[in-house]
Amino acid sequence: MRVEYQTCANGGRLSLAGELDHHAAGAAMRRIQSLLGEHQPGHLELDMQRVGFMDSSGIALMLNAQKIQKQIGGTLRVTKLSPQVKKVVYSVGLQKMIDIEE
Amino acid sequence: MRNKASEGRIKLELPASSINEGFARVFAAAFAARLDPTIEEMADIKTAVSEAVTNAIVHAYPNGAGVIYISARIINGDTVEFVIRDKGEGILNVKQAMEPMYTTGGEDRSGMGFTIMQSFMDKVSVTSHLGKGTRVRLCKRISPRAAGGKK
Repeated sequence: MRVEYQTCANGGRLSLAGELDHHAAGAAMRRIQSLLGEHQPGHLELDMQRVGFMDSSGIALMLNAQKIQKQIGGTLRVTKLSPQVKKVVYSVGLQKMIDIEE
Repeated sequence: MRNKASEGRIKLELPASSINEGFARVFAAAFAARLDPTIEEMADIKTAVSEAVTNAIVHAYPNGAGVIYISARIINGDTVEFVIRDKGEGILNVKQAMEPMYTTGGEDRSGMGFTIMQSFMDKVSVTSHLGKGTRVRLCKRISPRAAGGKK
């Protein structure tokens, strides 16, 4: 899975690309942790546009990203979810805990 | 056109390594394609099978080495059945393991695997014996398409 970080006007954007399963999630999370620690974006957009598949490993990753953002006083919004990613997110009610783009 | 589905069972054995999660999903999708599912039904099946296989990798064989057995068949001509089996540690309390947010896997795991399996498949049943292993059965009926391709 590819993880890219871009600085934006009000913070940063993390773009993920690939299949977000348990195999990919560990390395992706470590990379996200170090990028967020380094850049400390006020607001973070987690761009899911190029994530073709996600399972519950992605739920844990989103919750962990939000936890890091809270610790450094920032916010998180998850954007550009595919229908499959959206269905996984809503099936567990994650939209009640995390700011998810409609 | 659907053939009379009496093709029997297809079996797959995978080393319990996370690199094989993607292969298990592709296997499940390729098998389900026999019933001409929609993109959404196909995605549901891939997601549920991914969860079951991941559980076996993470929980059944925490020390790494082990084999996951997947079998697939069509029942009643319109339902796909996947059985994901391991010979690992087993689950002490299946009811508790299936509760949302319950996990023994640390913060890398959401505890939502069974919740997703249950919401994406029509039937999920789990049997487990400590020290012997776990068997997860997932079934989903694929709604037939009307002539012209639309469901």
